[in-house]
Order: sequence, then structure tokens, then C-alpha cells
Amino acid sequence: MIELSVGELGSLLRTRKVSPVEVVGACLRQIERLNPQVQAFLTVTGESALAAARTAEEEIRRGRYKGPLHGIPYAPKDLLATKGIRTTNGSRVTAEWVPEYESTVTARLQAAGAILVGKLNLLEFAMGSGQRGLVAPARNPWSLAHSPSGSSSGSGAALAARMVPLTIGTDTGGSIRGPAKSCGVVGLKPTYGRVSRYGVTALSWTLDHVGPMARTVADVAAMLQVMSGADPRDRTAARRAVPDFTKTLGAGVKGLRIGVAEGYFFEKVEPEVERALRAAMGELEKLGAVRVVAKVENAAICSPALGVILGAESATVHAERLRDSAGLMDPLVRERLEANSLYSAMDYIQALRVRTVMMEEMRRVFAGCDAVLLPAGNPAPLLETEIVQTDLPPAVPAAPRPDTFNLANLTGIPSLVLPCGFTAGTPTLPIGMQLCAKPFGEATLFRIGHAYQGVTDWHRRAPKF
Amino acid sequence: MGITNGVARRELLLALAGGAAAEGQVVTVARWEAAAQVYGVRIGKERWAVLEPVMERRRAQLEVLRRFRVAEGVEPAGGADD
Repeated sequence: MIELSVGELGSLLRTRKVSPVEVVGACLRQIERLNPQVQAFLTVTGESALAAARTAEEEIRRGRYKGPLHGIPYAPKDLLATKGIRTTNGSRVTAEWVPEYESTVTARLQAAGAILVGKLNLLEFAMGSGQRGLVAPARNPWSLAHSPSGSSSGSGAALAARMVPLTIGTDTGGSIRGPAKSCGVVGLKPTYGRVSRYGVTALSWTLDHVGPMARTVADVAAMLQVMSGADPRDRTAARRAVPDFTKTLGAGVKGLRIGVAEGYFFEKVEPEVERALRAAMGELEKLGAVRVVAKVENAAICSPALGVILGAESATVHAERLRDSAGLMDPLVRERLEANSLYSAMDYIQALRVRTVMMEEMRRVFAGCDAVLLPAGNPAPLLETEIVQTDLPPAVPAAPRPDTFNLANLTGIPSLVLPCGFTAGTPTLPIGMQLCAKPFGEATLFRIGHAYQGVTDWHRRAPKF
Repeated sequence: MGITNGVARRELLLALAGGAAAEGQVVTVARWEAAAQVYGVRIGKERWAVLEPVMERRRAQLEVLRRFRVAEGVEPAGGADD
């Protein structure tokens, strides 16, 4: 049962061939079995999850089926406030915080009948290394010596370990897409404004995004359907109508122009990854997509601009915590926040103007294509190289890290990562590809990703324990 | 950031009253004292010792950002569909 997608589970639940109690029970058993090794969950809400499952079972029995997420277990990154349930932000500073309110995203999932089974591990405040977090850092189910990437580390690891079929992550500089890539699952950073951020601990108001993660593109689409929409409690949540993503999910890719982002984004990308991406593009062409070249001018400016915006805003977000509780923070988080507080207003405003320039640049790029394909970084690094105390260069140089995520955070465009291969050798690690579209173009990304998963089986492969 | 080898730079000039030092002039003020003035004494001497090399490392990226030419009239944007 734990191998089934939400689509498959939903069908069984709706027709009462399986009970939500059985589904939740299977997830809880998998969490109990593997969490000591994987450390994906910080909190498990087994009792309340089983109670919610019994309620869902009764509702479905009485014909009050709420839709495709009814009775489906899920878990959010522990950065989302859950009323009455400890919300730690992965930090000793807020380790005992029990919110009196619910984030909009978890409230919407609950209203759709989804069942919360726990809260997921992360890098402290979505910006640390996990070294001095609440528990040990999450590990990659494909190789416990490797990192699941962060900061939504538990969100990626829990999916790969089949602990839960749906998770929520947040993404300020790749924190949904990195774990999706490293764990061989699907992650969407939606358009800025598509999903409310109310009740989600901020890192950077300009760059933060909340998004769905799952093992299939169809499941991510189903989840986004429920999560999206205007919210009076978040003025950045767009008031535009949310399309029915299921309507176009199976429309195929025939005639869609996919621009391959040559140049900068492929710098530092390992040859094995590049081969996998080109093979994936080949599959999409076989399905009828049209390959074009997408040249993003000034792509390299995204990283410094994002660094200053994220830095200045995170220092503002956490100013009080830094003043009062610096000693409880991971050394890296403290160092970053202190250094971040030293950026000047002029640098910050220059970075915001660069953001405008890059948004215009992407408008130009999307005039020539429907989506852009680019790498999602290299395969997962060793965990020990990820856990650092400082941003100063390590004694042993870290593996090169391609700059492939910042563009979408800076410009707010939607970006989907899905598995497109595995490395050769031992251990075998997932390889991911990244697709971007124009603002509010998630449906296009889903069409492409769903078509690709229809002719490949990377997403069906599971790590062995 | 801006204070290297005791040479006055833009931020230090801002801190020294009335521009007593000229850009590029060697100054005798201790690094931390200068930093404390520039940054409003938000960090202590011990932490500055930790942060100074971090800030120095960030300088190259900052210079790239500062030198990037943005046309006059380009303003910070709002949401993704602005």
C-alpha cells in the first residue's frame, strides 16, 4: 500500500476497497520502522492521525467523499504552523513552540480530507546545516551516508522512504527542488503568489515559496489544486483563479516548445547528469515536444542578487531571535544571520532592481518557448560535507555546486523537479531534471512532467532497506 | 566589508566624522572599532573576528552585484505577474 500513488490510493478509498485507517496505519508502521535511520520525522502524530482516519472512513461510508485527498496521509515541513501541534522550525530556539493557529496550507489540506501524520525534519529555520538541530539530520534513503539535500530534507526523505505519499516543503533558494532531486521524487516550487504563506515561518518575504512534493507529477498537481488560491491573511497570495490542473494534465506535449537552457546552468554539472538530461529531452521530443534553445542573459547575476535579498530579509525576520537566543542556534545559522545583518540598504535595493531585470528577461525567454529545461544540480552529496559550521572554505574542497535554482526564486516563475535517471555505480543515486514555465504556468509543467512519467519508470523505483 | 588592511573605504568614510580620512588612505583605527561604528555596534569584538573573514568572502559577490548595470528607471518589482 505504501508504494501506491495518491491517484491509486484515492480510487481504492473512494470505492471503499481500502480504509483510511489501513492507509494511515501502513504509513505509521513504515515511519516506526525507518525513522530511526532516516530521521525524516521530528514529530509523529499517530493517535490523532488514526482518529482522523476513522472519521474519514465514516464520512466516505456515508457518501460524503471530499475528493482525491480524502483519507490520504501527508506531512508538512516543520516550518508550517499546526494548531496545537509542536512546530519547531528545526531549531532549539523554537523547540517548544505550540502554535495557536493553523497555516493556510495545512488548513486547506485538512479541509480536503488529507490526514496529518507528523511534522518533518528540516535545516534550522530553512537555512542551517542541521548540525545542532533538534535531532540528527535527515538522511537520504538511497544512501544513508548521503544528504537528502535541504532545507526540506525530511520532506524529500519521507517520500523516498515510502513513509507518506504527500509532503510539503518550502523553497527560498531550491529547498523543495534540491531534496526532490536528491531523493528521486517530484517537487514543485509554485509561482510566487500561487500558494499562501500564512502561518509559515518566513526566511525571505521576497523569495519564499510553499509547495507540494510527492512521487508522481499527478499527485503534486492534485495537492497544488487544494493548496492554491487567494488568502486574505497573505497579501502576496494572488487573487487570480486557480485552473483545474487535472483537465490538462494528460494533454501531452505535442507541439510544446521546450527550451534547453544551454551555457551557464550546465557549468559544474557532472557529465552523467548532463547525459540524463539530454536523454530526457530526447524522450520528450519523441512524444512530440519541440526542442528550442533558451538563452537566459545575465543568469550569473541571480546568485549574488538572491544572496543579498535573502540575507537582508532573513536578518530582519530573525533579528529578535538573534538578539535573544544566538547561543541556541546552529553556529552556521548564527554566523549567517549576523553577517546578513551587515548588508547595506543600497545593496538590497540594487538586488531588488536586478530581480526586476531578470523577471523581464524571463518574460523575453518565454516569448520563445513554453518551458525551459535545465539541470536540478548534481546528485546528492555526502552528508558529512553538508554539515558545516561556517561558510568559510572547508579544508577539503566541497563538490562543485551548479547554480540552477536561484533563477526561479528570484523571478518567481514556477519550477518542477522530477527524477530522470540514476547514477551508475554504488551507491546509485537519483538524478533530477528541472522544468520552468512563465508565471502561473504550472499546468504546462504538469503536462510535460506527467507525459514524461508516462513513458519512464524512474519515479517507481524505491530504495532498499 | 570595506575595511581591509587598514585602508579606508566607502563604509569607513561614512563612519569617520566629516570624512576625516580619504578613500585609500591608511588609517590607524582598529578594525573592530571601525566596524562597530559602521554597523552601529550591533556585534561584539569576538563575533567580529568570526564575521570579518565571512564578510570579506562575500565581497566579491557584492562587487559583482554593485557593478551590474541596471538601467535608470528600473524599480523593484512586486509579485511574479507584475
